[in-house]
Amino acid sequence: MLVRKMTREIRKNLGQFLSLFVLSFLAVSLFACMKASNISAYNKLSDLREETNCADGWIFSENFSSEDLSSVNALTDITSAQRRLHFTATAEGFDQAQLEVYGLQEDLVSKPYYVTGKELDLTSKDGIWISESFAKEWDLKAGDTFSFSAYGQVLTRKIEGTIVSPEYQYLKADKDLDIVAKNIAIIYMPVEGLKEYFSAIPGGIPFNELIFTTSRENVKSLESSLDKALNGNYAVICDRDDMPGIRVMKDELAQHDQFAITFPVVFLAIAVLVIMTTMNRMIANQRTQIGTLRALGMKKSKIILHYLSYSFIVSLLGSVAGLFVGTYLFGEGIAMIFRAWYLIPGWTVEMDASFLLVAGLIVLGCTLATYLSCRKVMNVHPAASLRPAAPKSGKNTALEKLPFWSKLGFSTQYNLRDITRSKLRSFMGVFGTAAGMMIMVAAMASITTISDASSWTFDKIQNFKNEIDFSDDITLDQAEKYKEEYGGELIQTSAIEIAKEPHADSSRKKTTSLMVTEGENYYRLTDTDQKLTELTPGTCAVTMKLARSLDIHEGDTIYWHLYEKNTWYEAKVGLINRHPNFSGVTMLRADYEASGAEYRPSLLYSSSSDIGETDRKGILAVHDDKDLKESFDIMMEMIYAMLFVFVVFATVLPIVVLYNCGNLSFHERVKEFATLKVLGFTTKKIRKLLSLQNLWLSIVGLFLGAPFGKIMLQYMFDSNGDSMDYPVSAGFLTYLVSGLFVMIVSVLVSYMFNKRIKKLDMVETLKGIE
Amino acid sequence: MGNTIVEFKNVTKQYGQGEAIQLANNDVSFTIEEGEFVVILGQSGAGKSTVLNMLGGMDTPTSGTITVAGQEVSKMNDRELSEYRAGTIGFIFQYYNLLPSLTAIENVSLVKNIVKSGPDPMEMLRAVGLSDHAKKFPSQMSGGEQQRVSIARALAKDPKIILGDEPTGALDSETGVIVLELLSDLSRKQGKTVILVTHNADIAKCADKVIRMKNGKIREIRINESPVPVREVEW
Repeated sequence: MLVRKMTREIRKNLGQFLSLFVLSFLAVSLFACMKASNISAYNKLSDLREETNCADGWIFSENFSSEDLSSVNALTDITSAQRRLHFTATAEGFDQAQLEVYGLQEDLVSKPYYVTGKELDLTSKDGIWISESFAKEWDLKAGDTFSFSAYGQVLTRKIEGTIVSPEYQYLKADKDLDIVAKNIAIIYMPVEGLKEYFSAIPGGIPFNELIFTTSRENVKSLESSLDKALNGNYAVICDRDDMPGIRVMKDELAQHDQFAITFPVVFLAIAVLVIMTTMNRMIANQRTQIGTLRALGMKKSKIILHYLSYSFIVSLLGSVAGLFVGTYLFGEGIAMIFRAWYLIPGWTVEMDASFLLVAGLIVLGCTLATYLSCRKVMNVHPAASLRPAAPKSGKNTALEKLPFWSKLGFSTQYNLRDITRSKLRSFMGVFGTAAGMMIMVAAMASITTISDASSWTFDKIQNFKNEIDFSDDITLDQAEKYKEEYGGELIQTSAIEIAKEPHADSSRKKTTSLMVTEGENYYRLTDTDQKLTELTPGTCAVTMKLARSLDIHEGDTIYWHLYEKNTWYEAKVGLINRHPNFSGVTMLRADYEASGAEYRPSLLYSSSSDIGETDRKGILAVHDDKDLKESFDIMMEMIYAMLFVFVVFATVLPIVVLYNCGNLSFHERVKEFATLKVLGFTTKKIRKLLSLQNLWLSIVGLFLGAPFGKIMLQYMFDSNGDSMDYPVSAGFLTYLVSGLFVMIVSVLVSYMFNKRIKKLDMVETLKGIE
Repeated sequence: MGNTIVEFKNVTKQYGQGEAIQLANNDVSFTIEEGEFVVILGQSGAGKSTVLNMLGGMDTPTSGTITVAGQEVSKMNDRELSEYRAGTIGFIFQYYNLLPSLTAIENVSLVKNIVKSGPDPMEMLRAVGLSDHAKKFPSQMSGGEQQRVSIARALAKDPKIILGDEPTGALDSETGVIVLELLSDLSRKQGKTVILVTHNADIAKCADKVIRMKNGKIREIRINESPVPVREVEW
């Protein structure tokens, strides 16, 4: 019988229980959609690493000898090791895509994962294995020929297979700001096929990388034994966290893990508020019914169980629906988006025990909130609960002491008192709108932030028409000649390690980038306020986030060494600068050369809009500013996709919460509204009275939520790591549009009550006590 | 006594449909003169509250016409009914129906939101003898005091007709007398038309006219030639 009572009452309070369903659904589905693709990613990554024997450590040097390899192999904790050659080349055609080429003598560590074609044949002289993502973009298949230039020569080879490298889940061309699959490829090829090209180089093929797997958890703890084994003949030892191809994906997944917790917590909080207010009202309304049931001899526990079953069943239904829809629909959607950027074979969605745990916690949270609401009534003596509860006492609010209180209109006084009497409900209204506003501001601000970063880059920092990329083997003379011909400024970019002390150990130094400019203003610096500034000769600039992480200030001395060399230099910090996509140190050529390091320009920023023939010795590629802007456009597309999801949440939240607030407020005051109607108040006037409160709560929520929108977005941008520095910009328009949007939702919700007020049966409402 | 202010002509009110049809009022006709003190008397389920609700513009008849102060209430739409309730009727409920979050004076002033003219709310509170309680909330007052605030609220609109649905039903007899006296004075001293619904035959003794109802029909309309002063009534 109680089941019938429950289903009928759920039907009667459909609005509130539907909100509860939606909220528990959203909480669980948000968790599931973030987590399902992550779990699959972790599992498939682990499969990939196992299958390919992915390296745990990388050692870089100018050349490793076979003796070096033997010494490393002899170390007890090393389980496998191999040398390889790594260089960057440029595709012939294919938009001069960047190629990371690996020349292999052995295939023991970080073996390729085969997608199509043959397996690697180390004796092949003309075969290459190219990354699947690139092959797909350009419709390349096994059997096709492919040409690329390196070391000033063009090599033409046959594609034997398409592969995925276990070291590159994240693969981005240097010229791009974000992932553009058609602009970069990984190539694996036997060194046999490279021998003739290196024959001219003294010492033969330079094996500049030594990769290994180890049984140790902490790869860096091998540093001293490796140092001994190699007699110090190496530049740097890295673990997986140092490799951008692996680390960026790891950071992304960690970000998803974080979102998987944060968003459901917000929704759970709102769901708990909705339940507490709904059940509080329902139980207060059913006080005499509860008294009757108890007078009839029903056990207290049975009655409590009956009321618990309301929210238990509804939140359970919402959570189960959330689990499946979140995983297989939303989760698959997320996986699909990220599959286009990150390379993990077989990546889809999977569930694990945490899903049940979260769904269980949401149901438990909702049920517990109900328990807290019913406990109060259960403690009342049956005889007392058979009598109607004493009327709510009117109270003077602190606001009434204000001198202008008496001048406030009836609606204002009435609603202000009602708010102070229904704190939980009012809090729910404010919290819900604040959350909606927060999401809306974040969504709108993401557009202005990206567009600001774009104009920051292209209107302030980059003051050139074309970027000419030089090959590794270009001589300084050649580079200077090109500079003379095209005009512009030579730039050297190098990977470096920096620290606040020379020869710092791994924990106290950071891998970053060095940019050497000629100070001719083709590449300009901006200070922490994003204002154009100049580097004082004799000093260097350090980007803000990097400076903060190493506690570097203007005036400090820093120490640095080129990634592949072990000579440390010192530099004085003259400027803390900011750049949206560059993290590292910038110094003038004169200062760099004065330090004694070899100057090797890698780029020419030219103001000439016509570069003409680009197939010239020493030139890898030429990118015009349109090319460079493309990455921002892609990012913008991503933001628009995200915006849609955000707007949906920003709409659903205030609707659910304000509708509930209005609904509760309506039910709590229905007798008062009926009285007002009898007194002659029109429907419009009563609706105004009801919506005024929602309007206030919305406005308070709006102001409280607005600053958090900026904070949330900054947190989301910052969770992308130190290499991105996007200061969130939210102008007046952002707040205005977001605020208007939330207010329109709020006003529309108030119209949902129009019909109910119009249809309000004064006779019936005023007849009964309950 | 003056002109006819209320006329019920063959008014029928039915609830429900098909077999579940319930006739609350069946061919009810009567008139009430301006300034009369009328009691509609009947047992529970007699249909007296239905008459009052239709008269108050809170319900509409299934057939028949209701005319109040020259306006045909039975034909009014939602907006016109609101105006009618605001301008013509003052309603007093059994359970007072004061707004708990408003003080006594605020409950009375409330009607100034819909009727700009009319007497001063504080004057009305004084008239019901509650000027000292102006700043009290309903929960801080007794039932009788709350009902007097409710009368003050009805008066503040300066209505032509005051309707009371068992206004003394929730009060003890001593307090009931005070409330009833107030209402009868409104008719006798201020010339207001007062119509009360009650099941208490003793109250009917004070009225100018008694309309007795049973099973939705009018059984008797009796003019009381010499109404008993309220103070002399006991129940």
